Amino acid sequence: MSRKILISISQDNDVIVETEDYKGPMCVKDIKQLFNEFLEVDDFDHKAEYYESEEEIYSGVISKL
Amino acid sequence: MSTTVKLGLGLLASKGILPKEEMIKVFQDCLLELGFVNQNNSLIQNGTIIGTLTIKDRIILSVNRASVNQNLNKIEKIRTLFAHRAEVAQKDYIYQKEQAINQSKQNLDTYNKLVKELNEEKHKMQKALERQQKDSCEAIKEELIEAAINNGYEVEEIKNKESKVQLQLVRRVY
Repeated sequence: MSRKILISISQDNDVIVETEDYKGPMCVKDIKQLFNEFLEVDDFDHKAEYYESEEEIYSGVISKL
Repeated sequence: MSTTVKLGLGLLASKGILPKEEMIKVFQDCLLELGFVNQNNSLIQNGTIIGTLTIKDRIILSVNRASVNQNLNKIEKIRTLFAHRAEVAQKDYIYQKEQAINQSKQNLDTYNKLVKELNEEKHKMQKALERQQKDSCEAIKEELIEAAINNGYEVEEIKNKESKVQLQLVRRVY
């Protein structure tokens, strides 16, 4: 499984950052972390996936009875 | 897509071009020469706010996206002058350091260590200067690639028909 951040930079310095395969607020954390050394990023436009929760992954043992 | 951020960015000073204090001093001199003012990190020209400066290891100008095109000329002007001034400041900085290192010639181990450190610093500064001399779009792209790799992403660069640069940053999740 992978998560993607797509960055588009035009010649006039217009930068668009989009996330893919994320669910929930993790995408905001990853963008902020990536841009931390550049500038404060806080003007996010959230799509539907942002409001979905991440899939729960069962890490226990399933035993057949 | 889950989230989108749109930014108008100008990389005014590349990371590592000079030690931070030197970089800020040279940058402020450039602003003064070109008729800009840095007031509480707002870049101002003739009373008009151009954008917001973020001064860390590099200097970034963020501008309103609607005005990014009209500010392009200003960004390139600052970048170009800063590149010239930074090149001179680099030479001066390296000369001063070499003079200081020569004082430690009595102790060969210390001398060799300092020479090695300075050579590494020179290499980084040279690379940053080369980046400063490229256009802002290319320079931002290179610095973003470095930051992404340092944050554990695999980076793929795609160039599309509209001559936009696209970076695809992939992080494997296990």
